[in-house]
Amino acid sequence: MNVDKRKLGYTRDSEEFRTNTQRLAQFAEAVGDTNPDHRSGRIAPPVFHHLPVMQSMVEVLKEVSNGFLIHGEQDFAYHQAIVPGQRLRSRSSLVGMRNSSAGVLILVRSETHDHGGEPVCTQRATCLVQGQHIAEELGEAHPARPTVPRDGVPEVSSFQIDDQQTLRYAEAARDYSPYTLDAAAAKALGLPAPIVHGMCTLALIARSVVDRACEGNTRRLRRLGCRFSHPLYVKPGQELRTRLWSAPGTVAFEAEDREGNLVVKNGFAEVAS
Amino acid sequence: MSHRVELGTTNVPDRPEGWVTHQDVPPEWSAVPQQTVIEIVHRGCLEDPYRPVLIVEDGLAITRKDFLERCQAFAGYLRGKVRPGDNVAVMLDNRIEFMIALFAIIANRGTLVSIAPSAQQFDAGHIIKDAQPVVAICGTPQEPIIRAVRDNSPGLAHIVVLDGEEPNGLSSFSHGVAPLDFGKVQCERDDNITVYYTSGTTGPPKGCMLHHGWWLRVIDVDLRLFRRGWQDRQLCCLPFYYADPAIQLLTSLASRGTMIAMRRFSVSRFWDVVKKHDATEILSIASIPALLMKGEPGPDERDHRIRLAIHAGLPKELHAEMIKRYGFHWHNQYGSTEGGIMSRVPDHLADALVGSGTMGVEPPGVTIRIVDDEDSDLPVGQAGEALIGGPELYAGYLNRPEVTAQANRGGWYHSGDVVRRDERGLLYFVGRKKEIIRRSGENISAAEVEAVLRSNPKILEVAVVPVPDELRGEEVKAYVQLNVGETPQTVPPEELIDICKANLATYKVPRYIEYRLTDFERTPSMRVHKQSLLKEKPDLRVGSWDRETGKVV
Repeated sequence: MNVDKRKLGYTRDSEEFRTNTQRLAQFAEAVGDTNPDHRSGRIAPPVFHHLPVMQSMVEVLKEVSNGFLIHGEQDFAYHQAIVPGQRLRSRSSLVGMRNSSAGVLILVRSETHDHGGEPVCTQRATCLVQGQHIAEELGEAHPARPTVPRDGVPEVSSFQIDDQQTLRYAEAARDYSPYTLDAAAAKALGLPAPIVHGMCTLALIARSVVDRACEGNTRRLRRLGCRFSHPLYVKPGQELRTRLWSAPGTVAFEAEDREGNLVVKNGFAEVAS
Repeated sequence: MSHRVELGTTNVPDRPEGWVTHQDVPPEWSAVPQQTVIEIVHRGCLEDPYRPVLIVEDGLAITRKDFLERCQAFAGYLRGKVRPGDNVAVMLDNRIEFMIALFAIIANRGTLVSIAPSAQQFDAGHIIKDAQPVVAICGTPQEPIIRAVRDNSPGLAHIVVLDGEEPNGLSSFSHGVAPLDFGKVQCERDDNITVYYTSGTTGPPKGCMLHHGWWLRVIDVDLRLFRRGWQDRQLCCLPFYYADPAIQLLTSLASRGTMIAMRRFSVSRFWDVVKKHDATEILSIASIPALLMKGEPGPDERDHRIRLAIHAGLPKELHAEMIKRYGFHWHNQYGSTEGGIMSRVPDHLADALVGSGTMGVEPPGVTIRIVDDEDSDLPVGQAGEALIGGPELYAGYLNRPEVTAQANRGGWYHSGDVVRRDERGLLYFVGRKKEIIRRSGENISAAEVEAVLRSNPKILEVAVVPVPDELRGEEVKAYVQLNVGETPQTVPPEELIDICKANLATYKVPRYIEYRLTDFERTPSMRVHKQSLLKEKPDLRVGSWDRETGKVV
């Protein structure tokens, strides 16, 4: 299948997403988030912002390619926190196409607003359509990552990935992608085992970012992003080891799996004082 | 097999320019491009196999993949036993197996004939005799009834009694049988796939036949009027033997949603279920809103993700308070088995029409005429019977061509409902033609008098019926059940009369009042069972307070 350049600008809306205490708390629980504000559902963990966007983002991507797309990079810019009682509207648009060594990179920008029209979050997701090439690169490129210093010894944390982690995330996020849940479906795509949703992986890391760099206050987080550089497979004994470098106002992070494969790299966060 | 006629193709009245319409409705068949219900099930299950299709209130969830496999397996069992055009009786509670049986029957080009799980020998026997099913599917509680009436259908060769815990009640039947691949079944769009018996006020219940096209249109219209997505979960609190739960399941399948099902409606469990299973939408009928509003307020009724309720027969007196209390819109809708979705409040006018009592306007494709007893169109503003026209309405009444022809006379479906329009074309329900009380030449809607009394906080429930009267033809009688803590002494009949007088024209004010100390008998759809009230005693005036004498008769 060919990537169609006329699809640049293609836009879809997600259905209205209302928020309540329980849904926020469920998400926190599913990603092992122990922050009391998250766990009680008073405020959403930072990766929750992806949920209202997911439907329209995937519908835009499906318009370009109905094959297996690899989520390569993610960038959240936060304008306000998600709390119970909001009515969120999200819109996703295809805003850029680039060539890379592995195929065509598709950039989708998603904007979420609350019912008063105030911005909540801007997200940019770059996905790879493997083996494709376009004659002319169009629109925006994935935004430049902020400069985040990596000085000194990183803080290291580790999270055990059990065989129910992807199901817990699927139920909390309503993302039931078969290759995250079913070995046969993963194998059909050439993967040796089911993979952890990229957003689940980032949510696991984001816990440390909020705990350490924001002192537990999610509202201080301004930006969060990373590159998904290698699949994190669901297999016995799997773990996610995160290294995090905090500096005033910034965080750098990366994470590896049990074998030492770098599954997340170029991770960054900007934190308001 | 089917002699379905298209309705509403002749004598279509002009629709004035200024009338309200539904806005921004996507083109027809954009939500459901499929040609059969089986295609919706098949595609909906394959595209997102691990997403639950149905979650029952106590927590049992079934993924699309599992659901499809079970449907195909049971369809394999039915293969050869059910031939195209055969009827299959289904008498089940709200269990997942009901939906598995439904699609397994349809895939064999059979017809599901729905029997209330609470039916007894008389009513179940009538349906078995009328529909002549070749297979009957029931639960253990229903088995004695089915066995007692099985001779009513000499061709009834197989009685399938659910065996095992939900959702495995049908599994044992398909052991060792090849499944029927839903990707390869060849259904015809005009196949009748369901029969629902409608309780007419006269004569025995008649079976309303619905074909694939009816279902596809209802699903397409419903999804075009209100788009749904991945994060949506429709709450079903109605009995599965109605058409509505299957509509909710199919709209969920077509939009990557999930249906949450209650075993039966309950005020005390309602918000619990909403919260526990993250419902985002409610489909509601009859007195459900009134019953909810009488419930004790609690935090769960605010801290939820419901974004819309669709309701047939909204109590306008409660409408604004319902929105304020629960935090979402309730769209009034006019629907029926025969006509599908006949009107709904347009989304863009929802705020402006709160409390108006309107049922909105027809969705694209449907036309409602309002006529007098001679089927002549009435001027705007006058109440008359609603005639329904549009593509793919019901396919007729089973074995009753003459009743069907009578209902469809002139090429329009005669709804038996009395409605009116306002100058913007908005429709208002006046009453069932047969529930209109005719007093001294005036037509009084029982529903209207009930709504006035029900809006009073001291009153729990009310039922208004006609009482024969020599002088006036009929008189109005109200049965009133007071809320806990109230008695006929604290709420005397004079107070009830004053409530009516303050809200209704004098001729509509009830003459007779009877206090009801026990709960009303209800139909499965939560309506007060008026037929049983009328049969309670030979003289309905006895035991009632009479407004003209001020005494109890």
